[in-house]
Amino acid sequence: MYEILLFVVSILAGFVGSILGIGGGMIVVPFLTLALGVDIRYAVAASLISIVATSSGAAASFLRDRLTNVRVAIFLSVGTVFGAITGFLISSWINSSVLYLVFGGFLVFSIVMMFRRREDIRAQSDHPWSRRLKLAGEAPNAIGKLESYNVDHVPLGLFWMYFAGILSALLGIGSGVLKVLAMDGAMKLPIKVSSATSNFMIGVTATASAGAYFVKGDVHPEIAAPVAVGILMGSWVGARVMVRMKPIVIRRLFIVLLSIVALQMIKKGLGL
Amino acid sequence: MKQNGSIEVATAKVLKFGVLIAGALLLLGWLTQIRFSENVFLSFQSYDSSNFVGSLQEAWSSGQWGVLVSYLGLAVLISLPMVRVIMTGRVFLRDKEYLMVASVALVVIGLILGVSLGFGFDH
Repeated sequence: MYEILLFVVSILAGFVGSILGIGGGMIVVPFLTLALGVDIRYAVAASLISIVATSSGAAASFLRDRLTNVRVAIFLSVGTVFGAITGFLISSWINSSVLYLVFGGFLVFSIVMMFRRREDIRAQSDHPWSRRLKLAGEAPNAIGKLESYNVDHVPLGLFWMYFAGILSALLGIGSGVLKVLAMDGAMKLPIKVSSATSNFMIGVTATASAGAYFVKGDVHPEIAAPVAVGILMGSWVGARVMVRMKPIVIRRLFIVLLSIVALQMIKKGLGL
Repeated sequence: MKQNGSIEVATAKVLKFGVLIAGALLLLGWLTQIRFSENVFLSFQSYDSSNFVGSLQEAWSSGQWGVLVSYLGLAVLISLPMVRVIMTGRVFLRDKEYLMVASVALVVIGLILGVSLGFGFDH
């Protein structure tokens, strides 16, 4: 019965996640811990599996759209993968209550970021690292015409990705919110390119820590299977109905829900 | 990357097919294990560092093929992004883009290191 409940919630998480452009981990981890009483370490491990699934599932369409900047994705993945390893090592020593507090804090940050207006500001110059690695590319503009773009602040982006990788492994999230912040905020990539590139990196980052948790024995099929299959199904449906939906209503409801969850996670972390 | 369209399409197909296979294995394994009458999550309320190899051996010896199928699905899923990175690396290697090949190699080393560390913690 509880497994079916988890499956249904995971479908909803995948559905809402794909409409709002966020991962299902922000919904599934709090549900597993607060509603079902599962230890946060098991919840994080199961959530990472679902992140790998949704990232790989969505990759097919992103690759076809030619929006992913594979060079940027690979180069920045060096930062996220080693960040994920660091996060995995930290999680092996850190107290569960600290994880609840960090998770609650990250949810508050995500809520603030949901109010951020993403602006498509193009970099005027190409960073020397970008020139060396040929990171600049082309993407369709508002009228569908291909337009070239530069890549700025590459070292800052790489450092930011290391931090995103740590949080991903610690909290079982894709940390897409941090990745797109670095890519379209600091590195000045076009918004669509940064979203598609972030999706590539989310899967690779999650694999580094999901693989470690898997062989460590923290991934239990009883939790991971309904979560991964549910989120995959929900995101598949969500991607098909999103063009007919008004995300603003869902976004407002989700912000209220996320605020309550953030408060509960912080309370649990503080032992209140 | 020059003329990488066909490899992108091939990568997209591998990922799509891989996710379908992994999802089907996970669903099949899970459906055979569902216990409606009890709350399976009670046993996960406190953290107990488990043993991955031991869990596999136990499932094998007790004939719990549903658990084994689930683990197979998980393994397929986890390997997909690695396959994606390696397929991308092949393109860079073909185009003699050695800085990007080095980046790919670092990512792959990181992924292998991650799994190896997990084994180090497997009690």
